[in-house]
Amino acid sequence: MKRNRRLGWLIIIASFVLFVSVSLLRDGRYEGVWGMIGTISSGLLGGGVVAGVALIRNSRNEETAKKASIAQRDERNIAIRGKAAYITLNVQFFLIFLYSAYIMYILDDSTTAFIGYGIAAAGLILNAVLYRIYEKKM
Amino acid sequence: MKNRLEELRKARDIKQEELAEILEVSRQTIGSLENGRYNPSIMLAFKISRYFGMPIEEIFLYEEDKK
Repeated sequence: MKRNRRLGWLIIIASFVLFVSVSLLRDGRYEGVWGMIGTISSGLLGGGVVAGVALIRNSRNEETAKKASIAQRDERNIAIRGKAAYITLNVQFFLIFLYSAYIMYILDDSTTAFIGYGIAAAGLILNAVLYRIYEKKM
Repeated sequence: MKNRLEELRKARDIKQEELAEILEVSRQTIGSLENGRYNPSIMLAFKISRYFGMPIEEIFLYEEDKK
């Protein structure tokens, strides 16, 4: 319980530190790569705060924490999450490729477009590596 | 796959919430199992069979796909 509360606060503080650090490093640059990094850090801040608050809230009530723990480990929930993640991943790849192609050909910004392709490639490589790992484990 | 989960649960006079707590799954999972929308893993099937003290094949009724 206490561990979860501490972890929750740690996630929130880390998200804020990351966001503030990125904001300071950007130094007023809002376009191109820095614009993208800023957007990512804002997303991480939002996600971090939501995850942190959920952890802190669950750690206050034992019944809620128990329910949350069961929901987290519930095999049907895991199957649903897996299916949803699989479809989301495929749609995301498609959108990233489409967006990168748009940036490259219409806006003629190959650097930003290749960052998009790089992110998609990293995702595909991670997917292939995880497949191999799970293939050996199962 | 059909199953007798609802019938067995009602025979024991327990709620979905209670069975879910015993089996350490969510109440929604029990509901889905009873409606036949979700087939359990072999681990959960064994847990259920142990709880009701019956063999798996007496709880879960396997049917070949009709094509």
